[in-house]
Amino acid sequence: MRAFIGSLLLLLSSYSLADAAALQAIDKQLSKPALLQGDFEQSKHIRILARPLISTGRFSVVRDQGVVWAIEQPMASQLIISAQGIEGADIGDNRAMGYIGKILNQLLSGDIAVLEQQFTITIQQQDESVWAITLLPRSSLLAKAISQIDLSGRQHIQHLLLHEASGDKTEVNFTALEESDSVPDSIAHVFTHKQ
Amino acid sequence: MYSPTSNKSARLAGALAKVWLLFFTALILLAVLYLPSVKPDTNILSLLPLEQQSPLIEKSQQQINKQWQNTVIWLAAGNTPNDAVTKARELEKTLKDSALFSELKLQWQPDNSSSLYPSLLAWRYQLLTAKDKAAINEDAAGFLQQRLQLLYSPVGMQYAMTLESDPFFTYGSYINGLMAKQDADLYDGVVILRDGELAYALIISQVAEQGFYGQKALAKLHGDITAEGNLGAGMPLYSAYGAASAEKEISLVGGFSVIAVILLMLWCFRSLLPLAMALTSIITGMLAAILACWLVFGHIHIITLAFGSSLIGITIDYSFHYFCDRLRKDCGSTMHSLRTVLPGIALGIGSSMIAYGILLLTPFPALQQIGLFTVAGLSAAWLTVVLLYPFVTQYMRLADNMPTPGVYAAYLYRWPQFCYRWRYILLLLVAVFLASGLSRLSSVDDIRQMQKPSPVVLEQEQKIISLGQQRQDSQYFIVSAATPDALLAKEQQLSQGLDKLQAQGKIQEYQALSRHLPSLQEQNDNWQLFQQKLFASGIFEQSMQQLAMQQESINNITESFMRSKDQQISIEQWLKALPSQWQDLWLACETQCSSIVRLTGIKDTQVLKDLAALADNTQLLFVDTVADINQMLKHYRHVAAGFLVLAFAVILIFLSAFAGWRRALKILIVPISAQLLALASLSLLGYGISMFHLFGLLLALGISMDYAIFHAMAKHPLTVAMAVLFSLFTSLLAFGLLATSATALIQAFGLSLALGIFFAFLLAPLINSNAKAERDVYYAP
Repeated sequence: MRAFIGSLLLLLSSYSLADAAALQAIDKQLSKPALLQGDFEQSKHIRILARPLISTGRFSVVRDQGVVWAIEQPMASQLIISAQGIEGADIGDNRAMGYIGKILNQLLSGDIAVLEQQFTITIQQQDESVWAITLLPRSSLLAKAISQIDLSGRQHIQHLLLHEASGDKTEVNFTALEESDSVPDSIAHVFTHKQ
Repeated sequence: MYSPTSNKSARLAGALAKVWLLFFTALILLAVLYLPSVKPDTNILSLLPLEQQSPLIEKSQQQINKQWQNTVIWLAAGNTPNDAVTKARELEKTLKDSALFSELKLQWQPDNSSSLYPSLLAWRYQLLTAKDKAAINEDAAGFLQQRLQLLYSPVGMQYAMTLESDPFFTYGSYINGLMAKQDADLYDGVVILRDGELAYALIISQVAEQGFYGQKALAKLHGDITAEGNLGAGMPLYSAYGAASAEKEISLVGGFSVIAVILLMLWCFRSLLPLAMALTSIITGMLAAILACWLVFGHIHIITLAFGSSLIGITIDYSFHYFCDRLRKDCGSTMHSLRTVLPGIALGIGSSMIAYGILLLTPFPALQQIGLFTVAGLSAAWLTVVLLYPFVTQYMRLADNMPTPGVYAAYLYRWPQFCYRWRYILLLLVAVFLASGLSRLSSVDDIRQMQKPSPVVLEQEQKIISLGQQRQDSQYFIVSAATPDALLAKEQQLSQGLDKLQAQGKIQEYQALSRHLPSLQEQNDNWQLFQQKLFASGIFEQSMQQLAMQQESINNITESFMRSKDQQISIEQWLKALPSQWQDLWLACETQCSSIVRLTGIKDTQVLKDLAALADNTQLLFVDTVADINQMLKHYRHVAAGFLVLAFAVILIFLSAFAGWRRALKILIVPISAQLLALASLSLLGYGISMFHLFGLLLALGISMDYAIFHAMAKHPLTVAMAVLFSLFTSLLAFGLLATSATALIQAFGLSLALGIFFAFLLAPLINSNAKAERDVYYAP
C-alpha cells in the first residue's frame, strides 16, 4: 500500500515538475513588451439572452501599469483597469469587479508566474508555436464566480474563454496584435493621472 | 535601655496584645476566606470615573466599546500572499493553543455578507442607493444604457449573473454600498494587506475574559509573535501590557522597600526582634489594605496595588518612632515608650487618614481605591504598633547607643543653625525659586495621562493603521426621535451637515443607518420610480428585447416586480440581515427610538467644535467622552486645590485646639511652604500640573504634617530626628521609585509625594523650639 502511494506521489510530483518546466517555456514564449495593442471581439453568452452579446473594440496593455479596454461597438465606452482598480465602469466601489479586473490584467499581461499563485494551470497543448492552457481557480471564493479559464496563443494570448460558475461564458478573440517598446504619452497619461 | 516593667504596666501591655491578637485573627480569617478570590483588575476602562451619565449614553458606550473591547487583530507577515496565508494558518494554531481567545477568524467572511445578499433580495425594488435614484430620475434611458455597457465589458460578470433577479443592477450596487470598503486583496478567502515587499494575512481574534495571569500571558504571547515580524494590535493589549508593567513596578517598589526596611532595622537596632515586629506590622497593614479594598469595592485595580506597594515605606514610620524611643537611656517601660510616642503618632495617623480619606470623595475609582487601601493599611499598622509592640518587646534588649548620633544632631541643630546664619540669602533663593516655578505653572487635563499605552503597542497600531485599517473615532452622535421613520429623517438632517464637513475634508467618513435604509415612505417612492421610469415607460422591455432577452424572462421579471409592489422592510428586519457593525448603530426603541452616527477620520480637535455645533442637546447629542472626562479632570483639579486650602484650614483649627493658635501656625508653615516648593519644582521640571499632582501634594501634606508635629511636640528631639530620618528614607525610596512608573497617574503621585515630603523634611527642624535648649547626648556610659 505504502509503495503504491509512494509511487503515485512520485508520479504526481514528476508530472508537476514537467508541468512547471513546460509552463516556464510558455512564459518565455509570451513576449511581454512595454506596450501591446490590438483589436478584440468579445462574445458574452448569458443564459437568459437568446443571442450572445457581442462587442468589439481596441485594447492596450501597458506593462506594469494596466489595461485600457476601449469598446467601439455596439456603444462606445472605455474601461481602465490598473492596480488602483477599475475606472470607467459606473458601478462605484465593487470589490468583486475589482478582483476580476485584476485577473484580467494578469491574463492580458501574460504573467504566468503571477497567474500560478491564483490558479492551477494545466497544459492542454504545446507545439512549436501554439500553446493552450487551462486555469482552475485555487481559491474557493473565486471558484464561486469563475469555474475555468481557457487560454491559447503564440507570442501573445490570442484566445480567451472564461467559464463562469453560473453557466455564462465569455469568449474573446484578440487580433491585429502590435508590440511596441515605447508607450506614447496619450496612453501613459491615462495611468499616471490617476495616481 | 532595658529596664524592668512594673506589674501594672505589664498587665496593660498584655491586655492590649490580646486585643491585637483578636484583631489579627479576624484578619487572618477574612484573608483565608477572601484572598484566594482576589483578582487584580487590569482593564483600563475601569479607571474611568463613575459618572452619572444618561442611560442612553451609557448604552451607546457599551455598544461601541463592545466592538473593539476584546478584539485583537493579527497580521502574519510573508513574502508572498501564499506565504502569508501559510504563516497565518500556523499563527492561528499558536493562538488557539494559547487558550486565551474565544474566537479566531482567518477565513474572511465579512460578517454574514454571504447571507446578506439573499436576505434582503425580496426588497430589491424598495432599496436603492441615492446615486442610482438620482440617475433614474434624471434620465432613465441613459441610466439603463450605461448599465448595459457593463454587460458588454469583460468585468460585468456580477451583473450578468444576476440579470434575471436584478435587471438594472440596482440591488447589486446597493449591497456593495453596505459592505465595508477595503483596499485589500482576498487570497483564498483570507484578507491580505500589502506593504511594499511584504504581504500580511489578517486574523481577527476575540480575547476571552482574562484574569491577571491571562493578561500577562497575552502580553508575552504578543511579544513573541511580534518579535518574528508579525503585527498585532487591539484594546486588550493595553490592559495586558499594563498588567505586565504594573507587576514589574510592584515587585520593584515592594522589593526595594522591604530590603531597605530590613537593612535599616538591622543596622540601626542590631537585633532581630525589631525587624520581626516591623515585618509583622507591614504584613498586617498590607492584609488589611487589600481586604478592605476588596470587601468594600468588590475589585482592586492593578494601579492601586502598584501605588499600594509604597505603603511599605510609610507604615514603617510608626515602628521607627517606637523603636527609636526604646534606644534612649531612660526610656522606661515599654508602656512608657508607647505613651511618649503616642501623641505624635496619633496626630500623625490622624492627619494621614484625613488626607487619604479625601480621595474617597472623588468619583475616580482608582483614587477611591488608593484612599481606602492606604487608610486601612496605615490603621492596621498603627494598631499593631500600639497594641502589640509594648507586650512583645518587654524583654527586648537593645544596644544603648544610637548609631551615628552625629547625623541626627546635625539635622536637628546644625542644619537650623546653618539656615539661621544664612537666612537672608536662603530666603532670597527660596523666593526666586518659588517665583520662577510658580510663574511657570501650567495645567494638564488629559485622560490619556491616566494610562499611557506601552510604546510597543502604540508602534504596532501605527503600523497597522498605515496599512489601511482605519478605526472609527471615539466621538459620535446620538439621534433620537419618536418613530423609526422620524429617526431616519432626523439622521438625514444631520447627514446634510456632515456631508458639508466631509466635503471640506474635516472628517473622512461617517456611518449612519439612514444612509442605507430608506424610510417607509421612501421605499414606496423607490418602487414607484422603477414603475414609472423603467417599466411603465417601456424602457425596460425595449432594452431587454434589444439584448435578445427571451420574452418569457422579460415577463417573469415584470411579474415579479409587480408582486413586490407594497412590500416594506422595517428597521428591525433590515438590521437582522446586516453585519454587527451596522447593528451596533441601533439603540432600539423605548420611549424614543435612537441610533448612533459614527465618525471616522476627524481631522483635528478644531473640528470637534464644528461637530458639537451640529448638535442640539435634546434630540441630537454629540458625545465626546474623552472631552467629558477631561472636563472632569479639570474640575477635580480645582476641587483638589480647594481641598488643599480646606485641609490647611481644618488642620489649623484642629492644632490650635491642641497647641494654641500661635504654635499651630508655626507648625503649619512647614507643610505649606513644603507644598509650595514642591509645586514650584514640578513646574520647573517641566510638568504640567494635573489633578493627580494636586492630590499627590494633598497626600504629601498628610504625611509631612507628621514631621512638623513630631518636631514641634518632641520631648526627646534626638530620637525623633532619628525616626524622622529613617522614615523619610524609606518613604522617599518608595515614592521615588513610584515616580519612575510608566503609568502617568502613579508617576504624578510618586513625584509630588516625594518632593512634598522632602521639602517638609528640610523645613521641619527649623521650627523646633526645643532645639536650642536641649542637647541630649546619648552615648553608652
